[in-house]
Parts: sequence; structure tokens; C-alpha cells
Amino acid sequence: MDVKREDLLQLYYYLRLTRRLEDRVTSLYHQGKILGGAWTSNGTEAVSVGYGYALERNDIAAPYFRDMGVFLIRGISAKRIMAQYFGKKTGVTGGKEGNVHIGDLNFGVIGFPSHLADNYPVGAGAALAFKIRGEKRIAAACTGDGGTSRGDFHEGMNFAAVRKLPIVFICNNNQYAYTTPLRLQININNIAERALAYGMPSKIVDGNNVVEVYKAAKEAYEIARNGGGPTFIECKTMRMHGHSEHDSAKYVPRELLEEWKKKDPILNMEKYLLENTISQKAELESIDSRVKKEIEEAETFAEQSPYPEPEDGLKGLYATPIEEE
Amino acid sequence: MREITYLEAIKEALDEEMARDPSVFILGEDVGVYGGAFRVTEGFYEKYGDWRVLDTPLSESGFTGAAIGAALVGMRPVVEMQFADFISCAFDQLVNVAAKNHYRWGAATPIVVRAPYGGNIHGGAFHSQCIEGFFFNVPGLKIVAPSTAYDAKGLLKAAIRDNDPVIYCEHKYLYRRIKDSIPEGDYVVPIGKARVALEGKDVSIITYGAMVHTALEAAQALKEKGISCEIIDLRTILPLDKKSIFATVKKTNKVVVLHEQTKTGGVGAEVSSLITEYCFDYLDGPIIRVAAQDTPVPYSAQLEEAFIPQAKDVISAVEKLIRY
Amino acid sequence: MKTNHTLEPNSMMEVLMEAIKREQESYDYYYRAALQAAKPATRKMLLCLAEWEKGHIEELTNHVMELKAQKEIDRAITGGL
Repeated sequence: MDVKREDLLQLYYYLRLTRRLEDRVTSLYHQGKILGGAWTSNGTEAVSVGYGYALERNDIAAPYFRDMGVFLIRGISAKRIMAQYFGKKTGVTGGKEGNVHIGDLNFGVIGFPSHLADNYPVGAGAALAFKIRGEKRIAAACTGDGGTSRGDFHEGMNFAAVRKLPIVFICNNNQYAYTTPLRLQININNIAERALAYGMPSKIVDGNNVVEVYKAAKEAYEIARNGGGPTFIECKTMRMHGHSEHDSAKYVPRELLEEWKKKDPILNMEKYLLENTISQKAELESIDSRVKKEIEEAETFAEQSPYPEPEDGLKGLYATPIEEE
Repeated sequence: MREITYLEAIKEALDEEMARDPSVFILGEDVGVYGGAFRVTEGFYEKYGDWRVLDTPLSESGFTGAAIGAALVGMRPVVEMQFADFISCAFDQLVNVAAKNHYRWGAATPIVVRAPYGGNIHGGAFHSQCIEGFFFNVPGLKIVAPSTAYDAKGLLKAAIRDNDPVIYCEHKYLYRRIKDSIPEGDYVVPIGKARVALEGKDVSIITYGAMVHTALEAAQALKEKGISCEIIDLRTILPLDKKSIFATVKKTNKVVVLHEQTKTGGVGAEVSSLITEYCFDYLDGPIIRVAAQDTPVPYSAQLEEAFIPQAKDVISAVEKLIRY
Repeated sequence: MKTNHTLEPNSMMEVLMEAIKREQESYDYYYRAALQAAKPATRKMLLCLAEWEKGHIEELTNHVMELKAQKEIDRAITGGL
């Protein structure tokens, strides 16, 4: 599959945007400007950018919390995301939710619940709706390696496989579930082997190579879109920061991080674009300065936005409120 | 007007809603070819096909999650729990996903979860539970529990048309044991509104579900002793119809709260707290809760009868209260 | 339907159906007898007995309905067809 130059440049742009946004969030968290926590996808950005970018406008994403690339690609602006981190009224959820707990159906993004892999059956349900209505839309659901041990992972995978639903399941295998390494999570070599049990085809891709993730996702989406049923894609990558930004991840061997540092997805992409003369240094630099500006503007917007009023917290519990006479 | 059973009422509501709105579909265990363990969806598979009446793998969390996902993109799924007891397996999807979607990120989740609940059927601890209490403490959910065939139909229609997740507690003891006259044509019973099942002036019995019939039985016996009971059928458990609760308290000044759910931390505890908080001055005596004993539901008929509140328990509670 | 008086081989449903049949027969018997009675007091008593049997029939019929409802629930629990 050939990927067009403009798409490759967009992939690069979103990698950069994701990294810069999350790096900025990390700093702001350490400055005490962001409360609660800051989870980032540092080192694994190619996964969310790759599978997110491969989606069509009408498709649905059921992401997890290291999927910043998906939020941005779907069209949820850096401004709204930054305001979300600040707990501002202009944030994606108006201050009701924090940080990565983002969802907006106007952009085809299902909200992320912290209970990992819950979005596997939820995503399968969206795909089921498409199938019932005979629409040529697909869903993509994502979880981390940790989430693949939860029941919802298995129930979602099984249901989708049995009904040949138009969904693609993505796994961001970043080696650690908080502090627990893979060897204490699974007794198999590849998470993709789990798909076998459901009679579901699977692929293992280099999760630090955005083009590879994009291509694998795109192919699987087309199969799903044309009635071929679900695919499971394991993206092997490495979480380069702690579970969240409070966590220095001392439990991860330094050598392992050093090894993965050389495979950084952004440097990887830069190298690919330059070596294949798809782009030049100057062009990439101008993309990066556009990204920098966007993040600065997002931060200013968030800083200047109002906080929600305390009474806003009572609003929106029900979609059909009960009328009190 | 026609006379139909509680079960037929549920079936009619489902059938009519599916015929009216193509986004309504059913999923759950054995609901398709077999027509459901209680035969509520018998004939639906033939009528609506296997993409609107879906037999699912045995995976309550999975198919509840799938219902949520479908609802988020415009469908109105009706999930059948084969027995309400199995809803515990879907607890996370209901409590953390469905209940919080709208508050957290503004997405409506119009799902109905049908939960055949309750005892008096010799089902033992895993086929007899009242599950409303598990979800009563979860803002964002709605819980209804009809006691009559009329309400069973009207509330199910309202639940399907509602844009929030509704847990529809259908009492399986009532399925084929009670009948009602149902009007021809479409009607709904609004969610959030209790009804006066029996007008009276001396004591209020606030209850719901199958216990409404136990209360009626007790009221009949008490009437012969010259005591007039008012029975409030809550119909919607979450959110509670406070207005109706307070109105009856102000009228009779004496309250018995009756439910089949176990006593501690149950719906009755909340009802009586609300009354003491807002209507204390109107009370002549303590609020008495008549509820199931705080144990799992026992199997043996003798034990189960002792577990579930009986008319005689209601009668003695009322007689105790009337002395105030 | 066996007409002997050992209940053991019969299901409870059969027992009830047989009981309804017998009550119906008794009702018919008393009612016919009442029509034949010349003395008003006797007629009144026989009609009263007939009414009693009618009450039994009603009770038994309700119980059959109850048994059927429970059977459906048992079937749901055990998964029998």
C-alpha cells in the first residue's frame, strides 16, 4: 500500500502535536497547574496517530488513555484538550472530567472509561449498530497490554468475532501495566495470540513505526468495512515515561529504556521522511513550529478560560431529566 | 380494553416499540431462536430477524457494553438479563460506563436492561434476588419496577423512549399470575411518578413490585378491622417520586415501608430517611420497614416464606403503628 | 386418568385436574338434588353445598394457574423445554 506524501506529512504533524501537547501537560502538571494526574503516551504516539489517522470521517473510535493522537486527529482541538486538563468550562467535558477522560460524539470519539478494555465491547456495540443498519462504517477500539487480561477484553473480542462485526481492535502493548511487566501479565509471547482463541485474524506491528501502524490499521479497516469481520492488531512499543507523570518508573530497567530510546517513533518518522526524500529538514521544522504555536495558543486559551460554576456540577446527569412539578 | 398478563404486557410493549422504531433491538442470552428463558420474546426472532433479536454469548458485561456502544451511535437496545441475578456481571458497564456517559461527556445512552427479579419462586440465592439496591446508589441510572400489567407495558415503553439507561425490574413471580385490563393503542406510564394503589387515611404503606400485592392483601384484612391503609406504588425507584411520598405522609402521618429487597441499606432506608428529613413534623410514630431478612434468598419453601415479607408481617407492622 | 385413590403415580397437576373434575361432579349432584327437593330448607341447604363446591372449583383453578406459572419459572431456571 502506497501512502501519499500529504498523508505522511500529516502523520508526522500529529506525532509532533501529540508529543508537544503531552510534554507541555507534563510540565504544567509538575508546576502544579494541572491537578489530579497526567497520563501520557510518550514513546507510544505512533500507535494512536497511526490507527486514528487511518479512520474515515464517519467511523467511530473507542479509545483508551494513551490515545491522544486519536483525539487530535478526530478533530478535538488542542485548545479544548488543554482546557480539559485545566478543568475549565471550555474543556471537552466542561470540567466534569479531567485529562484523558475525553469523549465527543461530534467527532466520533467514544469517551474513555478508566476500567481498561471496557471500550472493547462498547466499540463492538457501535460496530453492531453499523451492521444492523447496513452502514459502511467501522469502529476501532483500543486498550493497553494490561487491559487484555480483563474480562471485557475477551467478551468484546468474542462477541465481535462471532458476529463478524466491522471493528478493529488495537492493542498498545507498551510492556508495562503500571508497574507490572508483561511476563507477570501473560503466559504467551505475543498478545496477538489471544485473538486465535476467538478465531480472529491478528497482526503484530512495530508500534514505533507510524507508517506501519497506519497501513496495518487501514488494511484491517477495509476488511471490516467490507464484511470481513474484526482484526486484532498488536502494536509493540514501549512506554517511556511512568504510568503517569508522578511515577518515575524506577521498576523499568534503564537499559531497556535506552534501547527503546533509539527507536523513538518521531525520530523514526523523521528519518524515514528524510532518507526517502519525501520531505526536507526545513519543511519538518516548519511543521514543528506550527505545532509549537498551536500548543502555545492552546495553553493561553486554557489559562484564560473560565472555570465552571459550582452549580454546573449538578447539570447533565440525565439526558431526559425527570420533571419535578 | 383487553385482559392480559404481566408477561404479555411486557411482550406487547417490546413488540410495539420494535414495530414503531427500527432502532429498537433486543440482545441477550437465548432471546432469539428460543424466545427467552421466560418466553417473553417468543416469536420475535421470526418476526424481526436475527439482527434485531440477537442471541449473545454468555457474557453479560460484553453484551451490555455492546448495547451501550450501539446506543451511543443511535440505537435503542433492550438488553435481557436472563435472570436479574446475572446483572452483577455487567455491573461495571452499567455503573461506570452507561450511568456516567451523559454526565461525564454529554453522551446519551438510551439502553433498557430488563431484569427478571425477585423471589417466591423457589429459585434459591442465584435466581431470586432483588437487584435494585445494587444500583440505587448510582446517579445517572433510572430504575423502574412495575407491579401491574398496565404499568409493565407503559413503563417499558417509557423506558425504551427515554434517553437514559433504565434498569427495568420485572418481577418474575408476577409474570403469569396477574392480569390487567389494558387499553387498546399506545400509552406510556411516565418514569418518576408513583401511583396511589389504594386510597386510605390511617396508615401509608409505601412499596413497589410484587409487594404491592402483599400490601393489598394486608390492607384488605386490616379494613375488616377498621383500619384504612393507603398504598403507594413507587413504580420508579430511581429517582424517587418524593412528592408522592411526602403527600401520603402528610395525609396519614404513619408510614410502613415495604419491600422484598433485603432490609439493610435498601430502598426503604432511603425512603424513611427522606421522610424523617423533610416530613418529621408530620409523623405520629416511627417509620417501620418491612423487608426481607438480611441473608441471601434461601431455597426451601419454608425458609423462603420466612425470608420474604408476608401480609401478616405488614398487618402486625400496621397494628403496631396504629397505636401511636 | 387413573381413578384409584393412590396419589403417588400422579403429578400434582393431574391431582388438581382430577380434584376439579370431582368438585364439578359434586356441584352438579347437589344442584340437581336441590332442584328435586320439595322442602325449601332442604333445597336451600343443597344449593348452599353446591355453592361451596363452586368455591372449591375456583380455588383449585387458581391453584392450577399458580402451578402453571411456577412451572414456567422452573423451566426458565432449569432450562427445560
